[in-house]
Amino acid sequence: MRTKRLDANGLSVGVVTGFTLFLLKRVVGSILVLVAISMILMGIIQFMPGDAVDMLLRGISPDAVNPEVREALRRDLGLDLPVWHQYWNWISGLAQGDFGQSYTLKVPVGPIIFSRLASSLILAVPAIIFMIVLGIGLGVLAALSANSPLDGAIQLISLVAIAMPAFLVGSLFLYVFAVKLHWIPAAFNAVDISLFNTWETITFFFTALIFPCLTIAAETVAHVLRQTRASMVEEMKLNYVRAALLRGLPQGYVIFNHVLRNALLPAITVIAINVGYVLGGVIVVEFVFSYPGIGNLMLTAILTRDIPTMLGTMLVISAGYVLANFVADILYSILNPRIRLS
Amino acid sequence: MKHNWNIPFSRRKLMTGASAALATTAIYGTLGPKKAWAQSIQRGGTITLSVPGPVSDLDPHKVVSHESYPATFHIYSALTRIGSDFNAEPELAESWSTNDGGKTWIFKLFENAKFHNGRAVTAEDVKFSLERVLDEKISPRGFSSIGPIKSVSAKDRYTVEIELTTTYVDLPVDLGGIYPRIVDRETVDQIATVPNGSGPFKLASWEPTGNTVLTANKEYHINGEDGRPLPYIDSLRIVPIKEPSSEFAALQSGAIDVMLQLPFDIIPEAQNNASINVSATASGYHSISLHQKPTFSLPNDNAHLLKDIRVRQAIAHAINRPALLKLAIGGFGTVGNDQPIPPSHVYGHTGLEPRSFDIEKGKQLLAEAGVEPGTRLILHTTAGRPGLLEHGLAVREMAKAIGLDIAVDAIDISRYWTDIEYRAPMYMDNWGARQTINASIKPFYETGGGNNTAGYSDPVLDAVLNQAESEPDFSSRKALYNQAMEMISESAVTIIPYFKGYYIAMNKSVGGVSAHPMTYMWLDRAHKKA
Repeated sequence: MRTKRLDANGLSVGVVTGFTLFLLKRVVGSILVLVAISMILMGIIQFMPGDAVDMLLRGISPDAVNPEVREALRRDLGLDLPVWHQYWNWISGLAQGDFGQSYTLKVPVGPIIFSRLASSLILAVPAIIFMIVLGIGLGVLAALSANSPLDGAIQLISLVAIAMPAFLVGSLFLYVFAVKLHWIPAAFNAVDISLFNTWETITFFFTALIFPCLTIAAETVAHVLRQTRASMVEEMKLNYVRAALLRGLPQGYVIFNHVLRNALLPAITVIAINVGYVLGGVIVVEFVFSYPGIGNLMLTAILTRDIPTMLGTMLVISAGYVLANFVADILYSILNPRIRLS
Repeated sequence: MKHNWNIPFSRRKLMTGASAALATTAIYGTLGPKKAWAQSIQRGGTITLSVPGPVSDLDPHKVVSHESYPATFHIYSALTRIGSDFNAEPELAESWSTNDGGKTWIFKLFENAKFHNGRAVTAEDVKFSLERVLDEKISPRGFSSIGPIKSVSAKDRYTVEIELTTTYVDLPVDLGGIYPRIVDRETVDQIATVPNGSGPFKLASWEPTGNTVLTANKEYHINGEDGRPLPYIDSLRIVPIKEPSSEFAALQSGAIDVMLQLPFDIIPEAQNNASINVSATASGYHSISLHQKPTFSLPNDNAHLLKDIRVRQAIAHAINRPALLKLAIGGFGTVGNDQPIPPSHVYGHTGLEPRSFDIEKGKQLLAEAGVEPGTRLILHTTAGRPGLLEHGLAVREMAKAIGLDIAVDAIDISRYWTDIEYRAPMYMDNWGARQTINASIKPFYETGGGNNTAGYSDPVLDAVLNQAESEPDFSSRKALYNQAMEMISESAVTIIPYFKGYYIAMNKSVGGVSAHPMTYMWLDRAHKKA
């Protein structure tokens, strides 16, 4: 669809494609969602017990703390301001790329968050790739061999993967591969990568980091696999598939160009949701493997009520969810143009 | 599971334990010829220390987290260092003295002590640093922990005079604590990120919320056993590992060398591991505070009954202390007597027996107080500190025998210190050892004290504590503190069923490290064994 834009005199001033409009709407929508999330986050934080000053003074009887000192400390951090004022200070700084100053570390939060985000992405990106490749691949395989022993085995493994929480899978990996076999470090931040040469760094990446990646990916692969299999099986029952095969089209062509394309639509939704799950799973896995990522940073910030770090890490993780859904919307519209038309 | 029912608490007993003896020997060189010991030291290398959380503070006067101490203690020197026997040892001060029984103190500094930037440490730096700690707005956690200081003055370049508000003999010990570290007054504006201390290590890199790396200060003014400046190692890495099982696995795999704190449930496994040494000492206690002025009350909680001493004593009588010690912390401690000083302490009250496990007595006290069987109380605890949840659950079961229905409310650690501690009617707490007898008792039990966990107030006890604080004669002082301990134990406002052990673990290749009763970690004499 092409939309003609006219000026006041009825003359054409440009042409915007339907897809561009769709894209613009989604971008604006995503930004609004992020703004709403930022407000919700600031609101939730107000309900948390205690603040950074309470944590600073923990272990000391409240009766023994000079109220003037407590107020002065709160004033220094801006905690005496109304919530809307605190929010405005933070969001207006954020609009200029300033995530604020950590209450506890006394350093700018932005560089720390992005450094930790980069570390987390080292785990998350391969985990997402595993989820997509293995999830769709095994799903297709299971669907093509539906009700066979192979299908049964794949389904059983996927059920086990869904039933086992990430901290359990991670702990099992740690026990077997770190404690018993000494293949991987038990705590990743104890490894001094600066002592490695290039080859050792590459080896470390592919041998050691594979385990936390698999820990994150295990459950999500199972989700995608099961959705892909179910969609494929349903799709293959439809008349157009039968007709195409009866017309003599090769089975592989029909499956990969028609069946899989249609079956992927619901799978993409599941993938988008699970990208968010991966970002959440990173927090658990970073804790178990002592991996210095954004999840560990967020946990530390929550425990110390370091609001700028808390808000920054939560917003970045939320942005990951929003981005995943944005990409899913785009893919959906490419695979099924009716969506953007509607 | 092998239980150690008697922690070797005294220094003499400590040294009989194999692992502790090894560590103690390594630190102070008190056993065996120093020369032979010195020959076994291998200089150089890196030691990796694991801590439960990251180093979050580099300003020693504002430090909050226990995990930051290994950084601030090694970057900054204090006037003294607190030894494993709670005595003060020289650090920046070569010697100290008092001419009036403890009201005015003179500290002579080492003249060769330098900050990491090469400038000499002077009396003016000491004056600046102590006054900075005494400012409550700068050091809200430290200002009350360095003795009753009235004024600090620099008598000459290397002599400091400290005048107190009252006679106080433990000042040199207090000045070796967490906060009174000496900072460079000329660079204090950069202290949060570029610290300039005079300790055995310099900051090499600090990743906020991540790893911290310190390198040896080659100009450190204290020598090792081989006559050359400490430290023995070239660098020290401090690595945060939150999950204890991952931490222990890292120790087993050799990724780390020393573990700052060994959880009670891992101790047996560590003790049975041929490649790991365990060092132990007594340190602190778990307590149940029966608050006299709680800030909140809950429905179905008869917390007002806790104001009655008979009810408090009844609960204390219901506790089978040896069984609780085993259930809560695996037996890695000794039975307590409802006051905070263990009998092995130099001020310990050896004549004060633990309150008897006596169900009938407990029932009788409750009856006298008019408490009906089945009366409900709520005990707050947390799973965020090892042993506290188990402790609470065991007390709940034990209290049934005297007819009390104690409900356990387990609170997440993230809100325990802000919502429960000092506030709840009945709650559990976890305390480490304090550097002096005064710091171990007075803030916890004097009216309005900074650590008065039970909101307790007894003017007679206040008077005894004030008198003990300023009493210079050891015997008289000990008698006064023993009197205070008896009063505290009798009041049962804090039920202290056991004293904890503190355990650290290290690879057998590491020497010069031992568990310190204050849970401090000194690594300037740590080394890889030759």
